[in-house]
Amino acid sequence: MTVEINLRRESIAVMAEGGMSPQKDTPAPSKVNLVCRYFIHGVCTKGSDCRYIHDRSGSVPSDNICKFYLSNKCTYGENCRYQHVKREESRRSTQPVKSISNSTSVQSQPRERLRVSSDSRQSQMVTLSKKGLDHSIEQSQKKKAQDLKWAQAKAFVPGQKYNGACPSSYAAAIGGNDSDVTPQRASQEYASWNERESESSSELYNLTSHSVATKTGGLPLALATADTPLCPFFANDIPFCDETCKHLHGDICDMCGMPKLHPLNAQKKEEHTRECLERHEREMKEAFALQASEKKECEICLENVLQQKSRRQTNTDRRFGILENCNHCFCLSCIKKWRGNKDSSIEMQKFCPTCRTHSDFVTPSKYWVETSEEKAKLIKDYKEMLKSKPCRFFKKGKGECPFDRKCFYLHALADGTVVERNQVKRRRRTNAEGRQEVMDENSNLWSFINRRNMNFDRNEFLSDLLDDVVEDVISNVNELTRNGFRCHCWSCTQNLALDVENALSTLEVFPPR
Amino acid sequence: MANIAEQRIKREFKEVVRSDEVAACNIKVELVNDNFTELRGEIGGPPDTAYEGGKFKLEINIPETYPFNPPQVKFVTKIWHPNISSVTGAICLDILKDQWAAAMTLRTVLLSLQALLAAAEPDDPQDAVVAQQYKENNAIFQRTARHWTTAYAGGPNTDTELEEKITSMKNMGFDEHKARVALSTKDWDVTRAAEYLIS
Repeated sequence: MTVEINLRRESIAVMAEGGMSPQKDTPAPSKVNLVCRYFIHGVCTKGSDCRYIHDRSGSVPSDNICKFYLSNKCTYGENCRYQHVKREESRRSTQPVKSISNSTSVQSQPRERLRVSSDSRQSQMVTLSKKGLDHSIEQSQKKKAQDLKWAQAKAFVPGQKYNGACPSSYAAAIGGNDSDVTPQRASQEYASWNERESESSSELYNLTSHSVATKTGGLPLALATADTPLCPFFANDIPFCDETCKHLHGDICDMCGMPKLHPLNAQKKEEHTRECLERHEREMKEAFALQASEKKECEICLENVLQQKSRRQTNTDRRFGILENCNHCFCLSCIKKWRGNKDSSIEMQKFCPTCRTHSDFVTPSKYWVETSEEKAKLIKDYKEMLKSKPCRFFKKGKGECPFDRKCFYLHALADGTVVERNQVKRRRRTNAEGRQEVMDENSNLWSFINRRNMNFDRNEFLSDLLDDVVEDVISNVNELTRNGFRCHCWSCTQNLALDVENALSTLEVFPPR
Repeated sequence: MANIAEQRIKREFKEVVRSDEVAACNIKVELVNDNFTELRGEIGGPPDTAYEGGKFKLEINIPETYPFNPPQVKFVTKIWHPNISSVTGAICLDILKDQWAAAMTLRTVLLSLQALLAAAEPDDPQDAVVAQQYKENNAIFQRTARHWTTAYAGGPNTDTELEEKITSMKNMGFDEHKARVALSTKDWDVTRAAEYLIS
């Protein structure tokens, strides 16, 4: 610990010098015998003009390693400003750098927060990871052997304790998971570490050598209470945390293999176990669903739905379009296209392209659903989800939705009140040809005439129109007389309700039949 | 050509058209050009029908919107059938029109055509003359159809009586195909056929 503090002081001194000097107005002397700290971090803008040494050999500062790379999450890839080296490599590369002296003339000694270089092992600073240093070659060989053994990894059986992926102890983990790390040996290491740790950091923690930390690194249990939060880095296997960590480290959970169990708080422990179980169940379900969907081919494009090449770059890619009433498999984009095909009749569009079963709607799904229960659930969930989305026809009450009550989307006014009743009332009637006709009750005469104009011959149209006009007039007149009105424009008739035909005769536009 | 149509035709070629089942049913499809828009098909006449033993060539055009719209299919080989025009080869089959479904493939289309040869629909005719003969004088229809199969599709059954009638018409100076059409239309009555051709 003391060495580390010294190290820091030195490097700060080095940095202060290195960082300030370029701004001085001194004529550019020959190279200063220091490594450019900007260069080390990859941001030196001076290039070859820089007075400081641009040489990275053997000195990768530990804080220049990409933290995200270490946890395999770096999204920058090769463009990352930080170095993509594993700690093992960087440590190895720091080994040749000689000695730490107390003078300030140390050159290019990187700030090693996490590990001290090999020579400093003579100091009191003892780390568990030294084992890894000494046996780096041996370890790499072992690693190779392990890589070969991956196929013989222990299989995971749901409901049984799984130790295949996670080391049984921290010692096993740092020892490369090899079997030669016996619990005895591990505990010896812990003991020695505890001893030295307590010596060196007693001024910080005032620990007695008898306080036994059952976890490697982290806060000893004796100092923790049920409310002590767990170290989030250790729990999530983020390599920020090492044996110098001063936070509480949890027990390893059998389900997820992560040290996430709170050693003292039974409630939290239980909570995590439940969460783990739930997640596991969810993952299993997903895996089964994926397996069931993997080999499904769309019956329209004949391609495997999940492996489909993204030809349209839309969100309908690689999803299934589930039809309500039959069990044929289509990809969402194909079935949508089929149902939107202008060249086929409305009835054909609603049919399944394979079996011609009528389905009113298509449900998008990430996975194929085989059983009817699954399908019912999927459709129910889908409808529930749509209920929260505002209908684009209804437009918060400003528009009219052609689907009315059958619409899956939310019909809510601007103030948020949900409209339950349909806005548009429809009337069904049989027309002269004996066909069923649907009319909007509040449609006006002109829209009706316009519709009719499209496809009727004139005589038929006129007689139909007259029928409708008479009907219209009767209803209007009835309405008026009911309300006690006398209509002035129909002056020739004494009683409007009785003699509408007569009334019509006065109109030039609509001569009576 | 739309990507999806081309992809699908390619797949149909690989998985469907070249299967054993297809070979057993006497169905063939081949490409005419590289862009998969024009194809040539061939179906064998179904057994126990007038078309038995014949090989009927088809012209298949794949629209850009395939498989959402049906392929355009017509007979290249002349055929005597109520639902197929004896002049143009146009086919009257619902699945090639408004009853098309996107899950249908070239294979199902060709099998449907084969089925159509085996079971004609005289009430929904393409060729009214043939349909009338089919309904009113089925024996002559069968004979005519068999004769056409032999003459144009390489069928094995030669009907010497009908051949002789055609030869006599040819001797009168008529073109062979025109003579055959006229004779078939007029129920193989040489006088009426000659009158029909002259008028």
